[in-house]
Amino acid sequence: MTPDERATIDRGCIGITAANLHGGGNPLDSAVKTYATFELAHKYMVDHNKLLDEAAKQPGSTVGPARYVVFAQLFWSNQSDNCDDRLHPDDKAFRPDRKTGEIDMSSYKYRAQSRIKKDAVAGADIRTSYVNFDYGFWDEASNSFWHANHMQYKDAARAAADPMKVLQSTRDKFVKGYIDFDRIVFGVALAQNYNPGLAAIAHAGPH
Amino acid sequence: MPHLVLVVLGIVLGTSTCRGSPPMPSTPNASMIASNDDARAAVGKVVRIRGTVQREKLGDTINVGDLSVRCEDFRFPDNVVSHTATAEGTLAIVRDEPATVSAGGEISQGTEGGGSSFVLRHCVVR
Repeated sequence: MTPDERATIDRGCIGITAANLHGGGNPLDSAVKTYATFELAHKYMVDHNKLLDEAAKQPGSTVGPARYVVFAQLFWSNQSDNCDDRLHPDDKAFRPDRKTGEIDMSSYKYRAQSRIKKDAVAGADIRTSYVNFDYGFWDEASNSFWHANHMQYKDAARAAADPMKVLQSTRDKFVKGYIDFDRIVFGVALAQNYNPGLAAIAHAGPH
Repeated sequence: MPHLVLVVLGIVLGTSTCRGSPPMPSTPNASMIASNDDARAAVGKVVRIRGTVQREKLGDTINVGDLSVRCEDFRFPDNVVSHTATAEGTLAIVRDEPATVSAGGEISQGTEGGGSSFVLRHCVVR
């Protein structure tokens, strides 16, 4: 793993998806589709990978190894610039198109649900937030989502006490989510950095 | 290389699945905490807390009044979430690390605003 790859992974769940897509960046930026359901996203992936596979077999084909993958993002619906607004969900935001099932994520700002809580040190109420999002990278080979407990903390002592861990969850488990989030979107992107066939071999273990 | 990302991650960072643990006998010297004042006075000690379990991304929390204590590296069974439970562990205060954004706009997972929280290390259900 290169230092850049490690830095990407250290971003937490989003880093795992970003690493598998392009080795960096923010996954939503490279999503060709963003759907309200896993089924729609998965169908798009399967259908378009089939087209790519068939095109790759043609003489003189220039189709490369990149194939479509699915990732999921749990997030907070209210993306207001006002943190007080973000204490509450926005029932109208990021709803799917009734005909296509697609969700327009162009106005999404990576903002978290606000919260007011007692600071453990000061004992006074502070304005802070829940976690901004949770990304899951769909692994077709194992039918599960790869995500993380949190980013790798910069503080060495904190990181040692509570390190970033990679989690593998069933689809049902991942979709259940946490109190931090009230929405989920399933993205489809062309992955330059992931080969499900090789991943399947890796999952089977060395022989 | 791509497939190696997941494999190496599992080895280097420690692949795990969410899990719970069965109830265990109480530690005799664990003190019960029920408020923020109780908690601040018990940092570094083995404590017990009884409250409502909330499933949060950073870890399940036990909440009583305005006291919220997060169990590190532990998840309660699904059927306990939103119900009352008792947990025990060593109480600590941690700084809530905010999300970061690189010069290129790459954002990390995290919170906004920072602050500090109570956590239970070696958290177990009682």
